[in-house]
Amino acid sequence: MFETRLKVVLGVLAIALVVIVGRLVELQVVDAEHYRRRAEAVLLLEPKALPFVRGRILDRFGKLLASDEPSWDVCVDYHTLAPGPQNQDVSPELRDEIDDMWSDIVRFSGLTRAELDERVQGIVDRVQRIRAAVKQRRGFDDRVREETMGHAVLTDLDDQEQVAARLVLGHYPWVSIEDSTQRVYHDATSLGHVLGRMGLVDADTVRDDPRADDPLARYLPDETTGLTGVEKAAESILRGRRGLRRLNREGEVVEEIAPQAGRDVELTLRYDLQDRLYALLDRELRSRPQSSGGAIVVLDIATREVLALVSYPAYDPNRFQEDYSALLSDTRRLPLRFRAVANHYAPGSIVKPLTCLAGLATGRIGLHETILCTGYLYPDRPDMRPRCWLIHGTDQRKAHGDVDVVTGLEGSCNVFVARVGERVGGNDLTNFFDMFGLGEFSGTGLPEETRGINPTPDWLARRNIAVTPGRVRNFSIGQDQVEITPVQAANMVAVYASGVYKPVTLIRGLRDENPEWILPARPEHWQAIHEGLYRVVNSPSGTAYKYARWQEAGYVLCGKTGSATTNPWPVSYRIPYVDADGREDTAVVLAGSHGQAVKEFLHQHPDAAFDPKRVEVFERWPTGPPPEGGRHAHAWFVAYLQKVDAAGNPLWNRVPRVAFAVLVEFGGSGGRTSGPIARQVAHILVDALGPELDPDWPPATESVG
Amino acid sequence: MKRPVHDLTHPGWVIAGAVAILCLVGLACIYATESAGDGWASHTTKQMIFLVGSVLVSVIVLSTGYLRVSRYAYALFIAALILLVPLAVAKALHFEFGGLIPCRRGSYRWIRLPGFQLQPSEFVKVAYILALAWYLRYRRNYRTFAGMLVPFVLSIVPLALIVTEPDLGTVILMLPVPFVMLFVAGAKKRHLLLVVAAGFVCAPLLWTKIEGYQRMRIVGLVLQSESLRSRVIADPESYRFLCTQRQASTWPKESGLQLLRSKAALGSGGLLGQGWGHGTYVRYNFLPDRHNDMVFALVGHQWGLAGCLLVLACYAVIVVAGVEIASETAEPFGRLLAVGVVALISAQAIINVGMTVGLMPITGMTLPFVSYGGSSLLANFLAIGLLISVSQHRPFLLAKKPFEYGAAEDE
Repeated sequence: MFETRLKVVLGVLAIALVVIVGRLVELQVVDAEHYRRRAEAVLLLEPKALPFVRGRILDRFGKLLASDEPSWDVCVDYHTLAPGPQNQDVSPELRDEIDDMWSDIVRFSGLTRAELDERVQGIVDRVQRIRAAVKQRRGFDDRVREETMGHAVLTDLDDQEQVAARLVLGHYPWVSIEDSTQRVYHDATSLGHVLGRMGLVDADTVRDDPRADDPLARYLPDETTGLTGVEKAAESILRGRRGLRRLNREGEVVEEIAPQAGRDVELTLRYDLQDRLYALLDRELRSRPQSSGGAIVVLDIATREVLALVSYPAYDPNRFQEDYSALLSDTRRLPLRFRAVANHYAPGSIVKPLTCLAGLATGRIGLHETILCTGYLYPDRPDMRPRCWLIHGTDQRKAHGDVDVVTGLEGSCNVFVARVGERVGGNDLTNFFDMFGLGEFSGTGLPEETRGINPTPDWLARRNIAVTPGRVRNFSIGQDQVEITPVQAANMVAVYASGVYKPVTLIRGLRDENPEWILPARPEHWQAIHEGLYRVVNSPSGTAYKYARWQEAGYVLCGKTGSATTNPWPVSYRIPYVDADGREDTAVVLAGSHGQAVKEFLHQHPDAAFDPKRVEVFERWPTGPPPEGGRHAHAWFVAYLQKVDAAGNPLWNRVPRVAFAVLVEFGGSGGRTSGPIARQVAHILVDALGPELDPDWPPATESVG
Repeated sequence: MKRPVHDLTHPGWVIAGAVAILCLVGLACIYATESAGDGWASHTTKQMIFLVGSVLVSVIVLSTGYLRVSRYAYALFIAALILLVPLAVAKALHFEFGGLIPCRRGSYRWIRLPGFQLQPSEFVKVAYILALAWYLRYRRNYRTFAGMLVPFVLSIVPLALIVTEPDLGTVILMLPVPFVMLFVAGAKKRHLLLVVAAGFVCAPLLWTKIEGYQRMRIVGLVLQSESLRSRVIADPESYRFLCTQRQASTWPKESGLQLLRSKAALGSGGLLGQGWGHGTYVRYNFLPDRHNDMVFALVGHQWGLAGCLLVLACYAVIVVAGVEIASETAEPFGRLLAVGVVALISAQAIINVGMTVGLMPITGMTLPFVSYGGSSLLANFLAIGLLISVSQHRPFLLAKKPFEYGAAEDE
C-alpha cells in the first residue's frame, strides 16, 4: 500500500510536470515572438515632449512685436509637490530635505513662501482637475500621467539665472531645470493691451480644446495659452504642435517627431504710428489730471485696416506679473481696461452726421430745409432738454437761428439734429446706427472687444424702457442709452468719409469674409455731410475752428466734435458689515464696479457677514465739478484728412485715406480738449504716412496704348 | 538491491548531483544580474558563502545520521516555533524591535543577525517534517478520524504563526506536505477527502479574510486574459465578485506587473535563450525579485526552454531518487522523513515555477537551491542532508514493512 500510494504521489507530480512543461512550451515556443516584442518594449522610456516655438507677432512692416525667446524653467516632481498619501511614508530626513528645497527656492526666487505655496497649490489643483476629468471620461478614478511628471514652479529664467538655479537647486533629485521658452514683447508698452498676454491654461480651455484628440497639439496643464489680446485672438495661428522624442534605456532614439513652430501673425498696425500716438496721448493726458484715460484709433478707410489702436494708460506686457497688483488697484486710471475696443461711451455729437444722413436718406429732411433754433426745443419750455449747447442761462441771442444740415453740423446744433431724429423715428434711426456698425463687433477679433449699445426698439423692450420721442431725440444727439467704443467711432467716421461700411481688420488671416455694404444715400446727401464736417473745423463758426483748424501738405482736417455728458465713475465702495466677533463696522474698498467691490471685500474680510444690497458707492472720479462748469463729459473728436487743391479748396471727389477717432475721458468739451490732439494726430499722420495719405496713392502706372 | 555508497548511481549521489546543478544555475543567474551593474557582486558572494555553510551543515547532518537527529524532532520543532513568536509579536504591535525585525512591504518575516537575515519559517518547514514523521512513525491512530487531531494541531500552530507574518507562500506550502505524508503513511482516503472538502468549504471564508493584494494575486491568474480584463472594464457590475473596474484596468501596471514581466522574460528566451548575462531582464531590473522568487524567469530568459527543462529535470531526479530512498527504507521514521522531504522540495518547485509561468498565484516562495537566500538554502540543504542520510542508514528490521495496511483494514 505504501508503494502504491507513493506511485500515486509520483503520478500527481508527473501530471504537474507535464502541465508546467506545456505552459513553458506555450510561452517560449508558441508565443515567443510576442514576448520578445514585449521584452523590447519594456526598454522604451516615457516619451519626452519637445516644446514648440510660438509664432511671432509682427506689425504690418514686419517689425517684431512679440516672440518666443529661449529660457529655462525650474520643475519639481509632482510627488514632491503634492501632499498625497505617497508622501505620508517618507522618512523625516527626506521631509527635511524637501523643506530645505522650498527654503532654497524662496531664497532663490525672491517669492514669499505664501506666494510659492499658492503657486504649488495651483499646480496641484490643476492636476487634480485633470484627474477628475479623466475619471469622468473613463468612469473610474486612476492616476494620471501628470501625477508622475515634473511641473514648472519657477518659469522664464534667463541664461544666468538658470546657471544659478542649477547651483542652488540642482542637487535635489526631484528638481530639474528644463529648457523652455519665454514670451518677450519688444518695446511694446504702447501695444500692451493689443498684444495681450500669455497665462496658464485653465480647466475650461483644456476641456473645450478643439485639438484634444491630437496628443501633441492638445493643451498640457502646465502650458501657457493666449489669455487676452492678439495672443488669444490668434491663438490658433500662433500655437504650434509639440514634438516628441522617445529614447530607450540604451540611449537610442526610437521615435522622434519634430515640433512644429506656430505661424507668425501680422497685424495691420504701424508700430511707428502707434508709438507716436501713444506718446502724444501720454503727453496730453499727463497735463489733464481729471482725465482718467483716453484712446486713439486710426483706420485705413479703403481697407478698414487698423493702423493704430492706442489705449491709454497701458502697461508693459513684460512686467505684467510684477505690476499686476499695482495695475489692479489703480481704480482711477484703470490701466487694465482696453479702452480702444472694450469701453463704450455715449458718443454725443459725433453721431450727428449719422442722424442727419438718416434724415436726408429717408427724406425726412430736405437738403436745404431749415429748422429754427431758438436755443430750446420749445421756446416756451426752456427747462426741456436737449437745449442748444450755446445757451447758458436764458440768453436766447446766442441761438443758431435758421439751420440746415450743413450749418447744423457746423454748429453742432442740438435742436436741429434732435428735430431731424424725431422725424426719422427710433426705428429708422437705430437701423441707420446698425448700418454704421453700432451695437456690433467692429471686427478686430480681439476677445476684449464689446459691441457697445445700439438702443433698437427690441433692445429697449427687453429692458422695459419705453420708446418716447424725447428718448429718440436724445439718441439722435448721441446721449441716453446709445454707447459706442472708440474703434466703432473710428469706423463710423470712415463711413462718413467713404459712404461704405466694412468691418475693421487688425489681424491678417483671421477672417475669411468681409461683409461690406454701401449706405443707402445719394451723393448729394454725402456732399452735405462732408461739407458740414469740413466747416466744423474750417469755418469760423465751426465748433472746432478755434482748436483743430489744420492744413498741411495738401490736406485739411475735417471732423466732428462730441462732448458726451456723463456721470463720474465709482472708484470705491462703502460696505457695512458684521465681523466674526459680531461687531459692526464699515469697510471702504477700491473698486470700479459693484461686483469687483464685493469680490475685493470678500478677499480682505473672508469671515465677515454683509448685505450685498447695502454696498454703495463711496467715492467717484472725477471728484467735484468740471473746471469749465456744467456737467462732466467725455471729449470726442472724429476726423479724416481731406485732400485740397493748391488754393486750399477741398477736392470733394477724392475719398480720404485715413480716418481716426480721439477720445479723452472726462475731457469736457470735445473741441477744446480733443481738437488740439486731433490736430497733432493729423500732423503725425502726414509725417508717418507721407505719400500713402494721398487718395491717388499708389500712383497708377501709365499705360501706353 | 543495496548499492554501495561509492557507487555513483546511489540515490544519494544522484540527488547531490542534481542539487549541485541547481545551485550552479542559481549562482549563474545571481551573478548575471550583478555583472550588468558596476557594483561589487555582493549577492553572488553571499550566496557562495551560504552555499559553503549549507553544504557543511548537511555534511554534519549526514555524519550525525538522521536517527540521532530525529530524537530531537520535537525539540527542534518547538525551537523553530519559538523563533516565530517574536515575529508575530512584532506584527501585532507594528514594532520593529529597534530594527531587529525589519518590516518589509508590511510583513515581518526576518530576524536580523550580523551579516545575515534569518527567515525562521524556512526552518519550521524542515522541523515540521521531522516532528510529523516522528509522531506518525509507529502509530496507527491517525487511521481514525480522531487520530488526525494531533497531526492537525502540529500543522495548525506553525500555520497560525506564519499566517500572521504574513507569509502566504509558506502557508500554502504547509498544506500539501502533511497531506502527502499522511496519505503515504496510510491515512484513510475518506478522511483525507473530508479534509479536502472542509478546505473547499472554508475557502470562501478565507477569501474574505485575506488582504486585498493577496486576493488580487489570485484573481491575477484569470486577469492574465486581456479579453477578460476588457470585459470587466466594459461591464464592471457583472464581475464585481472578481475585482473592480479600476483594478482590471490598472492590473498590467500594478498587481499584474510582476507576472506580465516574468512571462515576458520567460517567453522572450525562446528555445535556447538570450545567453548568459544577455537580455533585457538581465541587464535591467524590470522584474521585481528576479534573483530570488523570480529566478526561474531569468533561467528561461537566458537559457530558454532548454534551461527550464534542465532545472525541471533536476527536480524530477531528486523526486524519483527520493521516492526510491523512501521505498527502499524499512525504518518507518526514515520512510516518512524521505516522503516529507520529497513533498517539500517538489511542492516548492511546483509552486514557484507555477507562479512564474502564471499558473499559480504569486507568493513569496523561493525556488529550492536556485533562488538567492541563505535561510531557504540552509533549510533545503538540511532537508536534503536528512534525505541522503536516510538512504545511508538502513537499520535491519524484523517487523514487517511499516505503513502496509491491507485493503481490509482500510474499511
